[in-house]
Amino acid sequence: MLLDEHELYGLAPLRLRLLMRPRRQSPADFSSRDKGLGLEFADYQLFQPGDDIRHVDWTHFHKDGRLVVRKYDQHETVAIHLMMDLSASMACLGEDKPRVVKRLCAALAFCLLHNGAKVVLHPVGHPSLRRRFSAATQWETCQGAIEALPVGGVLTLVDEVRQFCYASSRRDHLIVLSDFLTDHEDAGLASCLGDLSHRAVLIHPTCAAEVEPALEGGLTLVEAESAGTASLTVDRQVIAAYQQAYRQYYDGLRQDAERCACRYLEVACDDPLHRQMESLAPNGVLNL
Amino acid sequence: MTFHGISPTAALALAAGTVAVLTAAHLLHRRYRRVVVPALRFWSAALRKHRQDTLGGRLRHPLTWLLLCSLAGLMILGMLQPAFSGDWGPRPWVVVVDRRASMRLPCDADSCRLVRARTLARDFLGRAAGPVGVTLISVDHTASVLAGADDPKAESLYHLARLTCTDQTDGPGMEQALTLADTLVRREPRTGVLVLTDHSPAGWDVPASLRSHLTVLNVAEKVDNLAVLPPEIAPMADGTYQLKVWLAHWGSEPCRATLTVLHDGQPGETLPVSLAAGQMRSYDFVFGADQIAFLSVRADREEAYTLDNHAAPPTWQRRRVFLADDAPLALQAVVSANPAYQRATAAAEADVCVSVARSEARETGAYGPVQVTAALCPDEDLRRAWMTDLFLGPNVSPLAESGSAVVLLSTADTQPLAVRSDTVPTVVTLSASLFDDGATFWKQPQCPVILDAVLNPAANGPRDTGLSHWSGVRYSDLTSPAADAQTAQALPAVRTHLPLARGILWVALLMALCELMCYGRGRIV
Repeated sequence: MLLDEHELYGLAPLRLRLLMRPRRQSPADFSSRDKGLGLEFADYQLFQPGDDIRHVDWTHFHKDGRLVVRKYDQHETVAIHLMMDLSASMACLGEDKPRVVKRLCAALAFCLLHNGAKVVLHPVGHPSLRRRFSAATQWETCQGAIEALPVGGVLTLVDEVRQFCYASSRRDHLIVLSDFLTDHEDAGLASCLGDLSHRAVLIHPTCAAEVEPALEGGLTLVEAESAGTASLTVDRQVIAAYQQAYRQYYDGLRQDAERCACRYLEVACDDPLHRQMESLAPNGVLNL
Repeated sequence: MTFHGISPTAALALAAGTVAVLTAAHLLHRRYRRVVVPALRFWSAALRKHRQDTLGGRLRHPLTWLLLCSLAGLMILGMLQPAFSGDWGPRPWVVVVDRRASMRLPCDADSCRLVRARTLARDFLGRAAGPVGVTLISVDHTASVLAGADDPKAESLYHLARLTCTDQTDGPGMEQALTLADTLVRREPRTGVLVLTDHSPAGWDVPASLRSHLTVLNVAEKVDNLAVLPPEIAPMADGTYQLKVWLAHWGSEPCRATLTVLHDGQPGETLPVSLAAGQMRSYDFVFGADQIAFLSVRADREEAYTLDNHAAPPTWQRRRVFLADDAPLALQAVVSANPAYQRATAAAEADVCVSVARSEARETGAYGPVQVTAALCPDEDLRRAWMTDLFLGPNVSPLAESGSAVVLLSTADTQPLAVRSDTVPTVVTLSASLFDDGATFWKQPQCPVILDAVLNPAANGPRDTGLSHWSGVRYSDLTSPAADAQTAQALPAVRTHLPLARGILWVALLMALCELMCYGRGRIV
């Protein structure tokens, strides 16, 4: 089991809040940020040509002579794609990081399902293992599916995101858990995010061995996914240069994500789950 | 610094080859540990920054290359077997100038013996290597130190130029000067002693340790002298000994001579030498360890008027002393430390047999002085000086009376403490009370001198004992028919090397261990 009962109990109060604009709405389970055709009154708005005349507030017209229409809370049903990266680059620093990603994904799926959202489990590189869960009663199945996901392989994140852009509904949300290390150039991931018209949250699980690698001496470095090698002598200066390049890459990714109206979040693998969820859902609200 | 291993040229070639091989190996071979990382893109940036994968980048890794090269250098240095042999720097000299009344006598048309002595000493100071290291002592009725070894040579020359004769004709001055010189020789074994006098050295009390360092120049004769200065013997790493003989020439014309090394009195290796006017040079010979005790050196001038000095020189031989294994340590130390003695394994092979007797102790109950008899030291002043602070413990065990033996040391009530028989070999019997813990005899600085007189009757006995007593003294005026001896005796003033090879190899071993540890931990590649 990825999550025990105590952890599930802690996750239960989390609420989902969508930051998405309404598209073709129909009454649904969730309150949207925008106003639409819901049941609960939200606000008045001056009548514009094209507005439904049934929503004109005639009482208000009698009082001040202006035509205003009533606006109601928009309710919608959304599908949230959980795109998980369990490639070799995530697994090369030990078994902890893939498990942390699985636990984090399971926690997100739990919250989403219990807030009425539909969850599409989207393991990167394994299209045959894609699953869809639409009710909270499917949580156990969802957890089992996440736990059974294989670890390793080559990351095809850019291709998967591009495919998501073209294939999925624009109402769908995307949550990506990955280290975002692709064999494409940096511009490939940036352009991919630029093409994304969906709401997306990029979650980067980081660990200490990745930020401050405890390496020294003559090393032959082998890249986990491409098996490319490079030999060098690692000393403090090399480590400093590594950290500078590391920070520069992920700062660039953060800027690209903000430019594309996405959110980029870093989660420390060494933190406990509740701390990780606090960083993702401050004040108990999961903003998507 | 001397080298006793491979030749320096071979060491240089070996070092160059080793460094070349190490450099090539360092460039070609590196040990890398394989580590799987998520991405190379971050490391590639570091790689580009430091360029460690390039040829120059590898050379820039200083620790490995330096460690290997220094390790190789240390090992090659160890193979050179360097040693501090003590040959660095100028050799210190003690110059004793006699200025007693006889030195006022004229020797040439317009000069006296003192002027000649001053001239000779000034020439010697000018030729002696180095600006310092000459102790100048003048002798009249007492000895006076005019300049010390630490003073500049100019001060010695200054005092030398102002040296005048005195009216004193005799006195203990020369003995004091020799005692002082002996002290300086003991402090620095390389010290040579040059005495400029017109007195015969036959009546001097020359300490045994000074004999091998002493050169006496007779200024009563012609100035054209060729002196064989005290030689030095130094052990080599291969077990042989190096004999370094110094020749000094006083005169206005160049001089040719033949330097002959005598083995047990028999001429051995010869070396023709040529000395310019007023020149001093050294010549090296190499001998085995078994030959070194029987060596002497003779210089023969080739001029026709030179004295016929083919008479066999007095052969110096180390006096063989038999000591029982349980002899007191002080006695063993005295015999071992004196180069004039050699421990014999059997009494039959010895020149003198020493026994320590412990007879029945008498209840004296107090400390008593040790008396030095006239048989041991005829000179009363010297005898009194010897007896300073010599005491015995409370329970003295004197030796039994023996009619034929000569009593050398006794108690205050004439009970014998040391006797010497006239038998062959000579038997010396010492009372064990002399070496008790309560006795001060063996703790006093004059103890070695007294024991030397006890063990060697010729050294302090009657003055008519002949040349054997003066075997260590060079009376170096080769042109004078009256000269006693014309040889230089090579006494084993052995200096040991300070071996550096072992320390160097230990350092190399430690460095190799450090390198192995760093290599194992991946600190170096």
